[in-house]
Amino acid sequence: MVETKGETLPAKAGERSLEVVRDLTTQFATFYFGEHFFGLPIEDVIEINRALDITPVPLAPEYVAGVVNLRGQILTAVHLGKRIGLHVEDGKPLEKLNNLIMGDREEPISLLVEQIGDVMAVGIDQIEAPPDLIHGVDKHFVKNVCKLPEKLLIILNTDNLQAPPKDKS
Amino acid sequence: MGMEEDILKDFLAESKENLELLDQQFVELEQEPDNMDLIKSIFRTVHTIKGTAGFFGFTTLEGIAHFAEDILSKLRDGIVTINEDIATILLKSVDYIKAILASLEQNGKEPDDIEYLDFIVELRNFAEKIVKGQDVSVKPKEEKPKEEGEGPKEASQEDAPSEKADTDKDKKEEAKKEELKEEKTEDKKEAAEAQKSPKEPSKPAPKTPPKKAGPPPTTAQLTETHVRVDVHLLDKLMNLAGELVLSRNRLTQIANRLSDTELLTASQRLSLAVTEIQEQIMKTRMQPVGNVFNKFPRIVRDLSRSAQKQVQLKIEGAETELDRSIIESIKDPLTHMVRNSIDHGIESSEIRVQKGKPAAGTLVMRAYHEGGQVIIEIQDDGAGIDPEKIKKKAVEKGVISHEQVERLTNRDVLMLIFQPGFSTAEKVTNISGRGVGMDVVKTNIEKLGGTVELQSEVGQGTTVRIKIPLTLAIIPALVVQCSGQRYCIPQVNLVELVHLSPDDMEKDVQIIGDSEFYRLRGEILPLVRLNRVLNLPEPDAGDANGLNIVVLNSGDRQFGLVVDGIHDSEEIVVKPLGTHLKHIHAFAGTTLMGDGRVALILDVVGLTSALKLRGEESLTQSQLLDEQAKVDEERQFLLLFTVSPDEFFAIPLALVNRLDKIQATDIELVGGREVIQYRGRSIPVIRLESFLPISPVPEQEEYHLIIFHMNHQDIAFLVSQIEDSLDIAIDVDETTFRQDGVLGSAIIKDKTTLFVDVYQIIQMFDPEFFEQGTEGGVGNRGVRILLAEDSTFYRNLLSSYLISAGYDVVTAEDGQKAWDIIRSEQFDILITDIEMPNMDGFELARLVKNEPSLKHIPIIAVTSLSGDEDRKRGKDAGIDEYQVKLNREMVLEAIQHLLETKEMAQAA
Repeated sequence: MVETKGETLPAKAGERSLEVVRDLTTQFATFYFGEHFFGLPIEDVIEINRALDITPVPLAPEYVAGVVNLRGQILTAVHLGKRIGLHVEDGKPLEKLNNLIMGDREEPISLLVEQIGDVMAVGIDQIEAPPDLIHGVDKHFVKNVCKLPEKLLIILNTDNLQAPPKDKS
Repeated sequence: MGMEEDILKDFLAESKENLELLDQQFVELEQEPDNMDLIKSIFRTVHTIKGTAGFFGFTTLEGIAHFAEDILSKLRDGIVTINEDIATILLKSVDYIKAILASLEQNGKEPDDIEYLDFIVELRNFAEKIVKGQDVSVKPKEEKPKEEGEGPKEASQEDAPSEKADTDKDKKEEAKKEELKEEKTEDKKEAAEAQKSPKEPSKPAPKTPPKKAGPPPTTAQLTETHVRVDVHLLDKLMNLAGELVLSRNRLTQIANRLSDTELLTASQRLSLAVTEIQEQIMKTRMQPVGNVFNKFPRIVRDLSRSAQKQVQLKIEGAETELDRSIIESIKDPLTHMVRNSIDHGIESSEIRVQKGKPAAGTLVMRAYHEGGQVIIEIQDDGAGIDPEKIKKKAVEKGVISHEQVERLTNRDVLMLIFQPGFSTAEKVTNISGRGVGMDVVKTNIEKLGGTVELQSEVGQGTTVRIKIPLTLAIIPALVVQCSGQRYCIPQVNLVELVHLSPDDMEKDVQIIGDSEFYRLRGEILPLVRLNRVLNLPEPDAGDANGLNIVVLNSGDRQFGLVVDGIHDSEEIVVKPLGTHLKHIHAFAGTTLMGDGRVALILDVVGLTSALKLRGEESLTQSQLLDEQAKVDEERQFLLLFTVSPDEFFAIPLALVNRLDKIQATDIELVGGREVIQYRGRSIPVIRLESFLPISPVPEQEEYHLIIFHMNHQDIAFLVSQIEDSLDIAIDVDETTFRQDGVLGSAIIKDKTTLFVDVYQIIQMFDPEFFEQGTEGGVGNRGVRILLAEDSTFYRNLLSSYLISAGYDVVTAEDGQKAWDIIRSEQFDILITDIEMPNMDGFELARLVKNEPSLKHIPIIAVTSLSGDEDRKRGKDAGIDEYQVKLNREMVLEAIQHLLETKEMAQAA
């Protein structure tokens, strides 16, 4: 499902530990932005790419960092932090961010994230509804959370991330 | 005619597929005779064939289809159910139809064998029987009195068994008939075959089992020359071709860099192949414009009927090819324009005859190539468009003001039709005038990168000309640079490139309101700064390196796009913008450059629509500039502003060099004077409240500056708000508010407005302002000028700047008074207006030059008109110089010059 370009996804680590309950787990591609640890269902992620050249688009919504060329397909690059309202002090500069190509295969977007994590299998019973407040993150973009021993995995809402602004046609 | 051939080809291709389907459907139908969907589908197919056959006048084909349809309609209505006989005769019909189609494909005409006619007769008889309800399987449940009435013979006591008997009998009869026919057909068929296709003689006729009807007459196979391809597949291929082009570009770049001969040769070969592929794939997307045009005979027929007019449609150039996506998008605009032509353009037959035109109007739809674009014309020989009507309507609808409309040329007036909210329909009919105006047409065409033009001659007719690009997918474009990024501009919109040096800018770029204009060969060109439209930072160097202007055509208007740099022209592949970015009007799409980076494609129409307000404003302002010289004397363009709210001031707009906004923090205090940094210079800022008894400018974050350029220096007034600029007849009351710095007052828009004496204010601010730079400012003292001017406003204005230049000025209100004064006092120079009561400027000049004691006095005529004819008349009357009143500098220079020549003459 996941093509790996420029970055290998060590998918096995997570799988092994949870082999027993494999049928009842979902796999997430994980990544970091600032302090936060995020995940997207692996089937929503098309590929992961190191920094691509971003061409800025004037007059675009603030969260759009620009457009990128992915092997001839031109994708909108969405800055995860700005999209979900997460303010990061000393964030990585734009050209150092990783491109996570995700969403609808007809018109995917490139989600700009700071660091790519592992692919993680999470037991379905561990997935919870999001709390009312996650510090600094717009709840609209959060689908679920998963409390891991040492940190909180925030599972993002693919559809809402990908949907264009409602009010503008 | 080409179009008909094309339609025929389409018709054949489509029918072939449908007929294959029919065979299958009939078989299915026999198995499930109650499948209504199936019956309906078959019915539709046969109906289409019948309709098209009728259109082409293929009578045999039409006949077969017609009677087959009759039978099918009974099936559809549930009056009969299908049985073997019905299926047989229907299948036979299909076979005949196939044979006819094959003949059409090969010979372009129907086979003229008697055999086909025989079949029609047979089919008709069969159909009639069914229609009359005589046939076999009349459904018991459908047996209603009505039907009994129709078929009285076997009516009354009919029940199931007797019906069966009946049908059996019928069947037998039918079979007998068919047997007879069979023999006939066989012979005929062979004969037909022999004459039909001598090229493929040996093909044996495929024989259907003898149990089923007769052997079908079909012999010639319908040859497959067309393949239906999913449009998405084509689009995908197109994208890949684009991809290929880009890779090729990249490879060529690399090859050139490495300059390896082998690699170069290889890349050149690849290049050729890629170009070819691209062209071929483009072709797959091309369709003849006839695909749209062929819808129009019908539309025109219907429209002309309902409008009760006679219209003849002529179609020319239907074979002209256009990209599929464009073909789809032009249908609606074309329909709208054809509607307009029939509804408003072409007159009724009576009127036409009265006017000596043929009773039937002619509507021509024409397509042709011109310079890489496709032109589509819709031309009628109707009444034409009366500019006066348009003007009236436009003013009524509030599209444009009365003053504005009077200044427009006829061509501009016609373009008003494309303004939103304009509909020429005098009465709303069901054809046009339904609220969808020509503005929608124009917008749709412009979206395609096309333009619309209109030509009309009253009484002669109207031609609408649409220019559209051949394709939208790969276009030549100019690459420009702005704020470090590259942008592509479609070449269709490009007119020319202009580079202005800083010196040229000073001379030819004017700033009015918020807009800049460039005088390009006498035309006023509004300038649009790309970085400002896109909210990008100004270039570091500012305008120090001059301006790069890309002159663009956005349909009816040209404008200059100011960019940082201009690169090459390139063929680019247009790719759409993502959903997050679609709403940005400034961009038409994206593309990949040779280096693999993305560049945005500018939407030239979008750029202007994003500036719509400014654009409209510019229009009036550019007119303002143009018309300035032609305005009659008493009218004046004024700039209205406030210093404190509710206190209104006016100055002649012509004195203003530009307007700008500044932040409060931009104002610096230097040597007790306020200055601002402006275009790399610091210019002094004058607060009017320092010199006039008025309330001060309130504290604001942002102020407006009115900047004057006088005596080679900039100087600015700091004001609170720019209210308006308007063209108004001035009636200045110079008594009520007569004081230093004020020329007078007037009621403008119900407000008392003070006319500020700009020269005097500047002189009050800096008594030496006008002396710097001009030599001998002080030396002007003692020079006496007589100024003859009837308009108080101009008299005050002129005397104000003459006095500030150091002259002694005596004024006279008309020529007569001036004549009286000049004879009694000593003057060094006479400045006179031309149009004056009692005695005009020409007369005054003549008198002065004819009076020996006065003829040495130089005469300057000041006017707001500067026509050549006037100049000549003035020369004849003895006027030495002609100047435009408001051009202070030129007037002063002229005075200086004349005084010098006078001195030299006297010295000599």
